[in-house]
Amino acid sequence: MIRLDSVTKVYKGGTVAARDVSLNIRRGEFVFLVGPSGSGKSTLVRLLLRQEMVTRGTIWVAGKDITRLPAWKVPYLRRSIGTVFQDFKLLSTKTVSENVAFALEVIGRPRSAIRSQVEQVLELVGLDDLGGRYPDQLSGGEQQRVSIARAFVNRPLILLADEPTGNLDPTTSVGIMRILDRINRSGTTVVMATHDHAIVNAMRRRVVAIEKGQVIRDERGGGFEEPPEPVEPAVPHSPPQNLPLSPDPDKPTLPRMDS
Amino acid sequence: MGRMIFLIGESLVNLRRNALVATGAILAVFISLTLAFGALVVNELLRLNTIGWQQGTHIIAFLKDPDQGGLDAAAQVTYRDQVMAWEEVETVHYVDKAGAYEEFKEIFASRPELIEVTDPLKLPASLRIELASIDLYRDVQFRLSADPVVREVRSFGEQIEQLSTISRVLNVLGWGLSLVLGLSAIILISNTISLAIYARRNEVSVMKLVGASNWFIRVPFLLEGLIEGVVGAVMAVLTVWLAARNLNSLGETIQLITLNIPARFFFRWGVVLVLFGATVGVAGSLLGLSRHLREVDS
Ligand SMILES: Nc1ncnc2c1ncn2[C@@H]1O[C@H](COP(=O)(O)OP(=O)(O)OP(=O)(O)O)[C@@H](O)[C@H]1O
Ligand SMILES: [Mg+2]
Repeated sequence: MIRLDSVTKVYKGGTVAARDVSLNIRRGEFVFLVGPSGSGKSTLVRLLLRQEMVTRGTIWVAGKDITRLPAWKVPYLRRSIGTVFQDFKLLSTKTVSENVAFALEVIGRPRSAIRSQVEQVLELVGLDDLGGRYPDQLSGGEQQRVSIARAFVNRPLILLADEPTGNLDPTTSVGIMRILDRINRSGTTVVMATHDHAIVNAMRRRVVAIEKGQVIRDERGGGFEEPPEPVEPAVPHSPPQNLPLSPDPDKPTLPRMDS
Repeated sequence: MGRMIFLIGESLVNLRRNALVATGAILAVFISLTLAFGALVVNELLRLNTIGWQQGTHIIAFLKDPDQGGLDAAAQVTYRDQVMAWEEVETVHYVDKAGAYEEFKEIFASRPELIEVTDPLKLPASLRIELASIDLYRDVQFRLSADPVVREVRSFGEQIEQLSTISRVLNVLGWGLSLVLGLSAIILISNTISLAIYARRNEVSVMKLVGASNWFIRVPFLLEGLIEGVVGAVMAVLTVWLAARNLNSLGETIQLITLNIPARFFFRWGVVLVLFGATVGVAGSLLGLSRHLREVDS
């Protein structure tokens, strides 16, 4: 589904944000991109969206070499990739339903189809009652669910999430992860960049660790140990069973897909 | 269809959001095109009046009556043919004494007392001369004045020359001003587009993120500029047309000159100007888009 071949990205100032990155992500996988701040996680996300161009190397998405995609085709690439960001990027002048519908309107979907698709996806993220609210009438977690709904309403092949839980407390993050997992189970490939050790450790999915633009570890069902020199010293190293993710330790709220 | 409605709706929202700046841009288009069109109309008036000066007559030579040492009617016709053979002369129309009286009655139809006291036989026959080129009027005037059979020569050459000078100045002023104002209209429109893009930067970045095509993102802004340009142009055409119509009704009381411009003229130039306004609008939008759209993510 996604393949990176020796991808190097050097920004204008000379910062090397990706160094010879090779990666193969298959259809239906759930992949965490982890690494300290400034390691290049967001850069990979932007390269996949063609918000940035590679300096060297090739990126294949759904069988197409997107590094050679002409500019006018980039929108079509983005239609096959849903995106979720830390800051939600919701439009404050539109209601929840309108925000989600907007993603379909601007790619020219017929009105009739939009209605039912919006309803379905709001149900999927558990916001079917809040369609008429405005973003500033929602909690952070609800806003992020709207943003996921918008990313997924067009049923993309891939969902890219760049620190989707970065602004949320642990309990709310669990809800978000549950939705991302549900989306992944429907067959959508999910790539999520995160700092959050707890989430990564609890989910036990493929973990790609990046440092200084290089892949230093790629593990299936991996965890995310803190680096020897922690970037965020305030975060305690905690074993999975003590996570605040699950109020009841016997009944983990985060579904697993290891089997 | 639904798509078009969506796009037009978006551009109307834009216009409403920065109504003040949009009004400024529309006014700039309006003023610039009013000046240009006004200059065109005045020019057309001058042209109509110089060409059609007294039905194309540039020089009138009043002929002496036979009893004053002039030619008789038959010889006057022969004389007409001689003048017509001059190379400076395009055509000559002979008006005999009876014709002169008819014309007199027509001109002073509203003043019967004047017609009453005028002896039909007193009015002289004349040659109405249309020149091949107005510039030649002095030569012809001189030659006719020297001829003993001619009583008096009247020429409109000087007025014609003055008018064509005025027309030239008007042309330069009108087009110069409207060019400068037209350019500033383009810049003003591009500013409204920049503002609209800034006001909608969040929408635009979401649109890019979810894969709206480039034209879909651009069309509302292009439409906004187009609407501004066309509205300004239509206002200019209507204003000048109404002004010219009022002038025309005023002109009915001034008999010598015509202030009546055919509707065809307004229609033809109206279409040209509205197209021009549309072009100015789209050019302004493109300028604004090229300056700012890239900055909103990529
Ligand atoms: N547009 C840019 N121009 C120049 N340098 C950039 C640009 N964007 C990112 N960088 C640099 O590239 C490196 C990687 O940045 P990136 O945003 O990918 O890190 P990250 O892993 O997402 O960090 P974080 O976890 O803090 O979000 C950093 O050193 C950053 O300063
Ligand atoms: Mg980042």
